[in-house]
Amino acid sequence: MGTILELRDVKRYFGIRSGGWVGGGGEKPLKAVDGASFSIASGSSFGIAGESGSGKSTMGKLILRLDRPTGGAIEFEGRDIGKLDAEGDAWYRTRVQAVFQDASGSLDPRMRILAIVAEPLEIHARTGPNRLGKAEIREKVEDMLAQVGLPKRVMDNYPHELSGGQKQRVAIARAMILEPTMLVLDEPVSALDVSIRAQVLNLLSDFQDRYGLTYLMISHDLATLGHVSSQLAVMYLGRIVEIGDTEEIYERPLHPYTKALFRAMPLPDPNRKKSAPSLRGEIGSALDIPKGCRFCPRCDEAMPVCSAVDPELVDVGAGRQVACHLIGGSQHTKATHQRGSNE
Amino acid sequence: MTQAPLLSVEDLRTYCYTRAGVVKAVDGVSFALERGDSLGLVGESGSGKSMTCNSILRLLPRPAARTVGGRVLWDGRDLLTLSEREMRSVRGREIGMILQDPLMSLNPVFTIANQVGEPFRLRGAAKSRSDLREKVLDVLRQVHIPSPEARLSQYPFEFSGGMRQRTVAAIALAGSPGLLIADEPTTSLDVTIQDQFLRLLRELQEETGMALILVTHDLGIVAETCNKVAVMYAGKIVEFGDVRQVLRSPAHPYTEALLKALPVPGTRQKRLYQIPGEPPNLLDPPAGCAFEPRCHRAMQACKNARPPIKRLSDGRQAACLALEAGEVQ
Repeated sequence: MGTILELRDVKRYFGIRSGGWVGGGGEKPLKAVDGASFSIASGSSFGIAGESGSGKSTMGKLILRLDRPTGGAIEFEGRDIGKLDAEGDAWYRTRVQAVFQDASGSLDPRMRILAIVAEPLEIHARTGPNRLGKAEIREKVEDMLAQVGLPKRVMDNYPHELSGGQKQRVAIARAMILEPTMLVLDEPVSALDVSIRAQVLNLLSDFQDRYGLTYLMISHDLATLGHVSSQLAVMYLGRIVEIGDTEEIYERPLHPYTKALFRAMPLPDPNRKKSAPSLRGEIGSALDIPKGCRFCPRCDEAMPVCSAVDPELVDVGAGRQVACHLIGGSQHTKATHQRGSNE
Repeated sequence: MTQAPLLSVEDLRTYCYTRAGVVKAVDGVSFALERGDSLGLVGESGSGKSMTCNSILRLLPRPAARTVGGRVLWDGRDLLTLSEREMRSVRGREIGMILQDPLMSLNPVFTIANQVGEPFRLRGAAKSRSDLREKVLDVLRQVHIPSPEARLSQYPFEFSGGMRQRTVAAIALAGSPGLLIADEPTTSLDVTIQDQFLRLLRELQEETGMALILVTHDLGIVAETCNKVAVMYAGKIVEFGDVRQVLRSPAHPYTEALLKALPVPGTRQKRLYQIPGEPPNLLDPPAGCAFEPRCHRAMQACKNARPPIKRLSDGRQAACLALEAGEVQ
């Protein structure tokens, strides 16, 4: 399996004017994504986990070319997507499609389902050599609706006439109609009821088997990500703090933040004993990132070095990387930590 | 000594009158709560869990929705028969409420001190300005707002989501209610903040012996926070009982299916168990059991008759014909 998508030190800073109503004041960078590198193997599922403010959705937008990175590069199928011309842009949009959380918000309320699902075809097959006629488009839409498990008759419906689960199926049909190779799924099932969630996740899994699709799923829900993804990246305040094989991270999370996320995850097991509180405080502001490790102010295992030096992602074997002074650091820092925790 | 339960809801019926017809949003719901109990009210959207809570507090959108039957016994009185004025003294003082979106329940143009102080002022519970200030600080400390003195003159927009929800909890707690109804209080919060908030609720319950009704669609939250659970489907409670019993060995096929449909973290199953179909249209519900079209245990009889809720041998209650026929368990 080759690499389909590669990010190298991708950054997205927003310039925020500070102080002063009209002009004046300085510009302060809001570091939404602060140096992310990873690659996704073709045909696999990659998960990005994190809380609000972690930068996971900005990351999704950068990959979808809805926003441009201020640093670093994103390569898709060997091409730098920051350097695409108009034709390249059209190519990219037929290859990479998106499904978002709120299907009601991403479907135009004044368009019928047929028009919604057909729109990408009309845009992209209008100019190309494989121009489609009306009847062909209709046929393709019908076929795609059948694949997402919707009856033919919904073509004439408006979005508001469908249930939440049906709307999300329409959104998936629209994303799939151009036969893309990769889908970016930003919280695709978070707004759905439990009994509908499983249906949509199974549908996505079927599509992957059938077409060898690559998925990038962004979610705050570790249970869903654990089910879908084979590789997982955990983000905190714009940085990837832990990345690796999903099953291994579930079995043995290494970064204190990943551990806290797992502790906070509610499980329907009445016998599970809740240990210490999962985490104190709240995620900081990307405008004012703590010095040293950005997780340090909330970390129970913080050492003196943590508030001074920003830890780098270090390889800890088996494809796992962790950004934490506790892990993969020198013997010296480990020893200091042990002394610290005994006191 | 047999004591009446703290809250007893009997055969509650709330209907919504829409242009398209009558929706039986709450269709014969009964349950009882003791002091210190925490009940998880679970179900999917449209199952009637929020309408049940709003009916108890008589906060229904009128004239569209009306409680047409049943009793809500609280402290020896039927809340459904009280005057609006009497009801106003029950709300907030005897029964507190927290809603899903804390931003919607806080007024953006009033300070935190003003809003948290309002229930005290309305009741005339504060002797002086400084007494009021102390009382406000007390409840803010109770919900762990850091450095509350500095926060008094701030506005909701200056608070984070977790702090806003804790402020809403502070307002609900200001009247030291005997029962707190929390309708999806953590849906807009991050997992770690949700965990903090649920811990806070448990802690407050332990301190005050307050009872809790927690509306949620998340069985995980129920497992961690509640001792009783009521599973709702299409306006009815289909299973009610001890959390351990219900979650460990669900009796009703719907509860069973809900639990099976959840991804188990750490195990990458190829496919999830999926409940076929969608919840019924309540304008035109099935004639028999509402879950019958989606149920893997459905029998011919399920199409014709609505199963009554019955007490099982282990003390819990469930509404399923297959159970009576001895097919489950």
